[in-house]
Amino acid sequence: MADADYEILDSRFRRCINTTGKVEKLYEGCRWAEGPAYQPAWRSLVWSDIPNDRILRYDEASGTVGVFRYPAGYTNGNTVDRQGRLVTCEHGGRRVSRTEHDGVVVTLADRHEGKRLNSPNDVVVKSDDTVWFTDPAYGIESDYEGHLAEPEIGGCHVYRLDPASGDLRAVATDFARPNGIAFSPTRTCSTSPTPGRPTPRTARATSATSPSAKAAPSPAARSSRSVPPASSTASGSTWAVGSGSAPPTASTATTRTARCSAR
Amino acid sequence: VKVPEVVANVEFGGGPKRNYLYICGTTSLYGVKVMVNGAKRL
Repeated sequence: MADADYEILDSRFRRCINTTGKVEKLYEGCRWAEGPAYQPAWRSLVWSDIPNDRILRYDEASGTVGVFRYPAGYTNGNTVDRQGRLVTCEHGGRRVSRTEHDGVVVTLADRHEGKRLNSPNDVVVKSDDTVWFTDPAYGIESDYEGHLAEPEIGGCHVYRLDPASGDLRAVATDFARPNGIAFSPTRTCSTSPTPGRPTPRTARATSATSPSAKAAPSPAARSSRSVPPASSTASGSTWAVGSGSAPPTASTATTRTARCSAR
Repeated sequence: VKVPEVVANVEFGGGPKRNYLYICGTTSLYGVKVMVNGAKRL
């Protein structure tokens, strides 16, 4: 019975699901599936199979799966920018790349102040076309999900890239291990720690501002619920990934509010 | 949403309505049609 596919922990969730709808397995055969990104125009979902160093593609119309890119540079998070281009975090290349409309893969960011990034983990493009990403060191701590290497930057930060100018700046430098990143429709920027890892810390940060108020950063979000973010709905709720049977809440995870500064 | 494997991340898809939730769960890709719509462009 499909009802068994859901557990209602918060009554607000009830309207989000139809209990007759089952969780479907669409593909099996990854070592570690990560970083899904949907391209509506192509009715396709691409995602990373990190240790297998490949990106896969699910064709929504036919239900088939194929290899999109191999080797892929041990990719992790993917997203589609406002122009419809695939933007990708690469552990192997220690960079954020973009696949252009002509198929060429270009580097968007691989260094900050002259030092190589650790291993970009997850990325999102904001409404002003700036590219926000997290940079923990998981991808250089072993050969399992990248290439073993020494970090050059003495920290794991959240960055904001302006692709128009190439300006790359660290917007949050007090994370231990920033991981997933997402914007809500109100342009609140959230980053999460790695579920199941030490320092279970969830943070929520605002990125400043509506387009009409760029100069004045908005106050940091004050939501009492903190969940590792992943994907947002049009109505503003965030669907997130939690470890264990219950989502992290203020009582089970240390909540921190931070503000990602924006210009 | 209960998934048989450890989940890494999720994404809304399913055409213009964006009412299908894709779930990356370790060895597998899962999905479920939902009653809400994902944000299209932020």
